[in-house]
Amino acid sequence: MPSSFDAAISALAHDENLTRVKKLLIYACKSVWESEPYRLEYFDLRSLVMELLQLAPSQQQLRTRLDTFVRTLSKADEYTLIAELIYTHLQPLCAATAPAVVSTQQAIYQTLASQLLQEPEQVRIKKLIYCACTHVWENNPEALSQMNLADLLEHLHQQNLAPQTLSDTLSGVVQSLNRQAQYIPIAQRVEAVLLPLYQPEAAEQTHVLTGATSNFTEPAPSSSDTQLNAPVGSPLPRPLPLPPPPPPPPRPPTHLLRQAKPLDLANLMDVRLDVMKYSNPLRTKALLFAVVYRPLGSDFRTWLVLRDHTLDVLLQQVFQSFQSYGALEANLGRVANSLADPEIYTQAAGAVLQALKLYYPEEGRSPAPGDSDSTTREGPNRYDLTLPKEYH
Amino acid sequence: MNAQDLLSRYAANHTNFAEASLNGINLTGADLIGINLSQAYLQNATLTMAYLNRANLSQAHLNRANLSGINLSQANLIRANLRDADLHGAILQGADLRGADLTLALLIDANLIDADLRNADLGGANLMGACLRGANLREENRKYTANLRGANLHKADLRGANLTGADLARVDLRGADLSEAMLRGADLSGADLSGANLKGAFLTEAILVQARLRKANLVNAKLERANMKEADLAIALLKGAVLPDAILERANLSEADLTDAQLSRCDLQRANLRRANLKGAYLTDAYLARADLSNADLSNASLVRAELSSATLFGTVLHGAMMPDGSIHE
Repeated sequence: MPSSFDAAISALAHDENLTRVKKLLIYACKSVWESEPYRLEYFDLRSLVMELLQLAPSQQQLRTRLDTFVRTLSKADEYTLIAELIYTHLQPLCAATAPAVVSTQQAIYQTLASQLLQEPEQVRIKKLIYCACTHVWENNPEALSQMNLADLLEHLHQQNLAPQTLSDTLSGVVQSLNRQAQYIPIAQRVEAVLLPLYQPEAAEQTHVLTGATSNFTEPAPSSSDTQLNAPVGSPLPRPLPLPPPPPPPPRPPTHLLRQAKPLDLANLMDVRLDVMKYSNPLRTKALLFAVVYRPLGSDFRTWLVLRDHTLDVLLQQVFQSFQSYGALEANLGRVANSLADPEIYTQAAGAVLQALKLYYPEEGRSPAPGDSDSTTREGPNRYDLTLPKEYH
Repeated sequence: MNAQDLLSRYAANHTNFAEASLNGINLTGADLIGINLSQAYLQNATLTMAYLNRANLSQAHLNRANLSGINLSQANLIRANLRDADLHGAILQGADLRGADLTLALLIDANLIDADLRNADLGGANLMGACLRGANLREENRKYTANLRGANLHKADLRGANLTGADLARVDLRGADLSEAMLRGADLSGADLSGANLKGAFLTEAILVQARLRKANLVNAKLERANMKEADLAIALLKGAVLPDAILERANLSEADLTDAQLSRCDLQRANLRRANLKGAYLTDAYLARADLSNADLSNASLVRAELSSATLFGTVLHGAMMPDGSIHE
């Protein structure tokens, strides 16, 4: 009598969308988009499913992981259906709740690694950490997939026992790169995830959530050959050929511009209050969810997922997703207009923008279309996201 | 009556549907502002995203109704039955919910700003992330009191809310914001206030027996005569807090910050004050029998007439403190 695992594998194996299912599974497990048919053969469905369930053992984690990865694709609509299919078949195999955290030292690195493994950027995360530890830039995807992220985090932590040292080390690596802007949020994300190792008490008291531009200094001309383009013949999708971004126009001296207020837990209450006073909380949640994850559709029964995402966390996630107020405004507006009843969603977007305005620095000029806020495109259709760790 | 009938009649300016039988009706997104549904039967009805601003729903039967995202601002819900109702993300700003039954209701991210919840029953309700700023949950008398027993108020916003005498036993208030809230005489026994913000809150005569206040912010809070027996206040911030005559028997105050706190006549018998910061604190006439003050910092504190004879003073810093006999420790 086949086990439920066998039944799930069989169901997926016999589905007409098997190729797409495999592509999505590979992407969700390894952050690599594989489209060559003969290479797809190498991946065994059974192993992929097992790997995915290890990375996302609970229903919630599986759902989140699939949604997060699908969002980054240019054919997100088609793959949303594939994600649904995968989720439907694998859901019975998941734990109802996330497994409890084990507190041994090794397990701590494993837990932190699993937070980072939720990100589509895990390849870049590994590259950055590996370079921070060894001063060697590794581009080979085979080598990278062999690396254990928990081990990398352990090495990184042990080599940088003071938080300032960690910050300096990571910024040192980023400054030596050609595509610094893409690695800045990655470095921030790694620091944020490792924060509990340095300040277990302070991390819970106040979180300063920086959505504003980074602390790193202006890019220095790079002489080292640490190129970020995927080598020829790799499974990474070919980057779209784009001209280099135009040099940033001269900005007025910063002391004349309003500085951003820091966004901490106490202020987050104020932001939430402002949003609640001026919009329908459920509608606003649906808008924010659409920006961070995926649009929910007009059938209100599909909105049950919003019960698992509180408004304050969604606000935090949206805030951290955009480096500037201009980018936030453009994206909220775009998403609001793409949903049914755009006027109502635009009203909600307005409330969110008003509430978050003071937490972004004032800009020297209004952003032009195609601005460098959503930096050069590489790979699947996306903008830089630094997903926050859930604060309890 | 079905939804079509109701909507047509409403459109023709008939707004009185008192006592109407509307169980299970689907009025998703309907515009029913000012409608009269007093005592109407709406069990299991769906009113998601509907507009019922200023509606009259007094004593209406809305148990198990789906009211997510509904707009009920300034609505009359006096003694309405909302047991087990879904009010996720609902707007209840300024609503009158006196005597309403909201037991087990889902109120995640609901807007309850300035709502009147006196004598409402919110036992076991889920108010995670809800905003109750300025809401009134004040106890009027023994028989007229708001019940929040076992409710989930995780990260709720209760700033400036009036919770005088409210029943908050075993409530989950972790990470909630209660700064400046009025909690005079409130029952918070066994409540979880870990990491909560109680800055400047009024907790005079509140019952905090076995409450969890680890890392809570109680800076400048008023706790006169509060009962905090066996409460966990480890690492809590109590700088400038006012607690004369409070009961802290067996309380855990290890590593708490009690700088300049007012602890006169406090009962601190068997309390754990290891490594606590009591710089400049007032402990006049305090009862510290068998209290553990190891490694605590009592520089410049006042211990005049305090009972310290059986307290543990291992490694305690007493520089400049005024001792029980009136002498200044060097």
